[in-house]
Amino acid sequence: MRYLSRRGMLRALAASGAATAAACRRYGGPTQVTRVPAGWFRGEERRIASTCGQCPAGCGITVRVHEGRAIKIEGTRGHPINGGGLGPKGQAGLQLLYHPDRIRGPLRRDGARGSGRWIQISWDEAIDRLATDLGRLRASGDAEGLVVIDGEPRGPVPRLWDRFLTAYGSPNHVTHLSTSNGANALTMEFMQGIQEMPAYDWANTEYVLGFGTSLFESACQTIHLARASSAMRRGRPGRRVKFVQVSTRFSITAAKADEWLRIKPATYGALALGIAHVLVRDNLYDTDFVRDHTFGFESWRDGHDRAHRGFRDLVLSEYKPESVAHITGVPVETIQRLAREMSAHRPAIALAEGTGTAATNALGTAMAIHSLNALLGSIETQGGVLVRRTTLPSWMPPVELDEIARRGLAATPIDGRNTPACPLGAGSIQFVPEAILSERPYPVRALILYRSNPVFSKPEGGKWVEALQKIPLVVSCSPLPDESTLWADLVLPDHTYLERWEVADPAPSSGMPIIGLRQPVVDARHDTKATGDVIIRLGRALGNGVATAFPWADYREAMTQQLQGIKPDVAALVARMEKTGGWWDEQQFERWDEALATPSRRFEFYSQAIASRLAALFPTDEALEQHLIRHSVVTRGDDLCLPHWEPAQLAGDPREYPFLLDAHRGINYAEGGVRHLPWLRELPAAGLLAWKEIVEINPDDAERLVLHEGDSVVVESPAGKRRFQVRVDPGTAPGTVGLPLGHGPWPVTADDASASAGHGLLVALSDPLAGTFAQHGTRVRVRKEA
Amino acid sequence: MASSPTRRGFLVDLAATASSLVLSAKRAAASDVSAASPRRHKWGMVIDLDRCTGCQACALACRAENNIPVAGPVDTEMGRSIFWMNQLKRSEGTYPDVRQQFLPAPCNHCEDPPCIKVCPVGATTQSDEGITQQIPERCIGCRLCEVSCPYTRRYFNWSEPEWPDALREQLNPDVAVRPHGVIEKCLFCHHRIRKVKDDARVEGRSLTDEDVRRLPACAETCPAEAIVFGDLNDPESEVSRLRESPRAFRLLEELGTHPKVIYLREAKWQE
Repeated sequence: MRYLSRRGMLRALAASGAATAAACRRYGGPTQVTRVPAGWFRGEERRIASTCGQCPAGCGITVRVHEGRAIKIEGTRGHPINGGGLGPKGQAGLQLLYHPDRIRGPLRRDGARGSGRWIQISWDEAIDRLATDLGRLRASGDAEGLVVIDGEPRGPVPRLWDRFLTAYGSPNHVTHLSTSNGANALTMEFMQGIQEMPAYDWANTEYVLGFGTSLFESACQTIHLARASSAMRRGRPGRRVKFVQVSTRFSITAAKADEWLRIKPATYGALALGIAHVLVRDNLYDTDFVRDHTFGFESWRDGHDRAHRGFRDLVLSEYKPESVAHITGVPVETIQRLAREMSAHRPAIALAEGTGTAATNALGTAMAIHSLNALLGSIETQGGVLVRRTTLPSWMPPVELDEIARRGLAATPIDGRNTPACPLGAGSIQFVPEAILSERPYPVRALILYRSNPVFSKPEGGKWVEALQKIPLVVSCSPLPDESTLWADLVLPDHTYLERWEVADPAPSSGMPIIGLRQPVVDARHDTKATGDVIIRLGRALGNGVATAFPWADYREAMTQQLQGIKPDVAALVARMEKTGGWWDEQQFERWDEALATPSRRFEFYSQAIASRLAALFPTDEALEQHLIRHSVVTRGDDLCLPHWEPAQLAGDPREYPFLLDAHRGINYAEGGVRHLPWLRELPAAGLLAWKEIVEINPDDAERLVLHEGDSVVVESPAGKRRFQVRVDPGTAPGTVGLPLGHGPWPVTADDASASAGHGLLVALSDPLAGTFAQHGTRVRVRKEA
Repeated sequence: MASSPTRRGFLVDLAATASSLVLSAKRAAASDVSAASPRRHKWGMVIDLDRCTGCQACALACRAENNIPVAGPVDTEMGRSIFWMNQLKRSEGTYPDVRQQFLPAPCNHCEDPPCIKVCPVGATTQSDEGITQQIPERCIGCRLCEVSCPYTRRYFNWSEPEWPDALREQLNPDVAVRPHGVIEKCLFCHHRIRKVKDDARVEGRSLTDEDVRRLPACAETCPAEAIVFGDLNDPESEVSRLRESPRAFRLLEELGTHPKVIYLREAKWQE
């Protein structure tokens, strides 16, 4: 179709004579020959091994550098994560490095907030200013008023922030966890006692059932998975792993699956428990594993002789295939067939990565899906779900707290962590703007944004703009002038990942111990500084109390000390890592003491951790009951600690907002989005609308609303409204509107500060107990623009 | 380069002169036969659609390697983006009976390429290793080859290639930037082939299948290892083995163009 229009255009131009004229414009001559920088000879090439930083997966990259210029990024052959391949985001890294809009050096605001007027200052001045302001704040006894929003999921910098805030005396190290697969991490914590995302042994599995997963789009292991799925299909002659995808939207993952099953939105948990029902009823489950390694399968009595419900009783009595079919729209026969297939093709994996756990019933759903892995005996076995092995050791000794720090750390965190606002979760970033605006539990006096752009990438961007303007001091570490940096007072631009020396801590892939290394492939392009170094300098500049936590001269020394915990001979280890881009070791299986760290040292169908957390935060049953009623939770009693499903809550009245917004991330969603990197915007399958912000609408809905491909519409949610172009897409379910995230205008200007780009249309709805953000919970209406 | 009146004249006289120009083009191609090669290579590519996950890294890697400028919002909307390695997406059906297919689409490097026959100036030729080449210096921008390609894998440069200064740093020194007004296309990363040949010669050995299997930028980056490159004249090569697969097919085989890009169709799970 694309070509038809290309040619159609030519015909039109030829008719007007414009084609000939256009074809004769003068060619400006060959490109200039660049000068060879010092230290390089003409024609010299180096290949530098490093680790990608466009997403948390940690693929190994090898950068071709020609005469000091980075020319091309390739995957590192033999790397355990990507094996020599590299995805589009990784390829686009050079557009980030050489981005023409990069911030040239530290900036101080000069003019009104959002005016975009800055004065460039020196690093000494920048760090002095910040240290003075933060020192004053700490001295005045409001240490808890400092908030750091840290969007990096793991690695040395998040730990440095943690150390910094601990020594400084603020509990407010806010992460992005609640908006990125938080329910999965919590499930591992509650059912296995592991505080990390699960790892999967793709190489040895026989069957994969994905619940709303986005394996080939934006799971945090997409490239690893592309390689794994290719091997699952074609790696072993005559044997093919079956991959079944259950989802509402017919995504790329669904298109590439062996079988796609449509399901009603946010009913994944019910389907998982329906399958569990058949497995238990027909005795298709792994009885040995359940007997030897699980807790809470049968009904049981606790120390006070109180009876508790077991998982068997729960699924047999409440999740009969007939009622599950009614909830999910998946036929009874299909539910039974899935159970039989999974049981017959073990090891099998039930997978909850992605949109399957993105509604207000996320935690119960993720637990329901993970319970299938236990029933099938796929925990900690070959071809099953593994845990992440050895991570970077922590620095010794731990931080010594002074009086100010102790007082500050005792304050309530503003993201609701360990409070009834977020009883089971690890804090919710989507609570933060409200906390800032209401000054509850206390006013926020200073905010540091690291790898975080909440105005664009968190729900209700408009509210974030208001919140940022209320804070007296906003600091951004972004290397690019993004939507949040626009409102900052001080900018301390970070290096890009291609300019810093850094240990990388990849997401759990196939459960092998792995540490990546980043090294500068070119000299820093601008007067930027690695944030790790900034934290250490800032800590030292703050003097008494804080400085002692940072005994290292710089960031590299701090990391070298961490590496010592892996191999005492750090020099040899670093030399190896500089050559290969990392260090890795073998996979391990059936290490039960590592994989099952719950109070019972077993896989817990009934999570004792949930029970004790609820008991700690709600001293009486009455208090808990009140909380559940206030948040419209229908589940009660033991079921709260067991895998369960309940209907999802939605924001917006269905009569006013008839469509459900199905927001999703594509393969091109890099760190920070899509909009700033033209290569990612222009991926060929995006076609003629590649540069537009689009929504996807089912052909029947489009016909009803008299919409055609490319028409302009206004989409309105309770959180805001925005203009989009329509893409008519048969894979979008009727009654839903697909929204590929990460698009928006670039460069960012204050004029577009309505902040409805990116995630701005989404309402900050959460799982009432886990506090995870419900990305699939916003209703919208669509109006055609005249 | 010819000025526009002359060029128009060329087009008018096309029918009369076409055959003689083709002959001269063939002579030109024959003259750059490479020196000492024991067996003549015939480069081909196999793309396994069962492995492909539609990630489009191939298309992006190709753009980065071959200095293909970003089209930008205006040209994109007019369908003027250039993708030597394209990714065609096709959705059909009615929800929930939907199907979607992805097809990574480089030049097919036909054994009997229609595009060469129509070029009035010999700007497109076939190398003796089977690569359909394009010589920008000879191209007059008439676009006959573009319309004659049944696969639509030839692209016209509608505007002057432009990069912001900072991004010029990334340009690959091995690949010339094509000017405005000429046709360009996939060349199977022939600059990389030349490089490995040189390396092999320096090491005093002949090329192996291992040297070239993931040689083009698209094949090198493919995370699913769906793209395999190699010598179709070498019976031991991976591409020769894969082309015998019962899943193998070529696009529009009935046209008799004999593409050297071979696809392997998607398969189904069987219990």
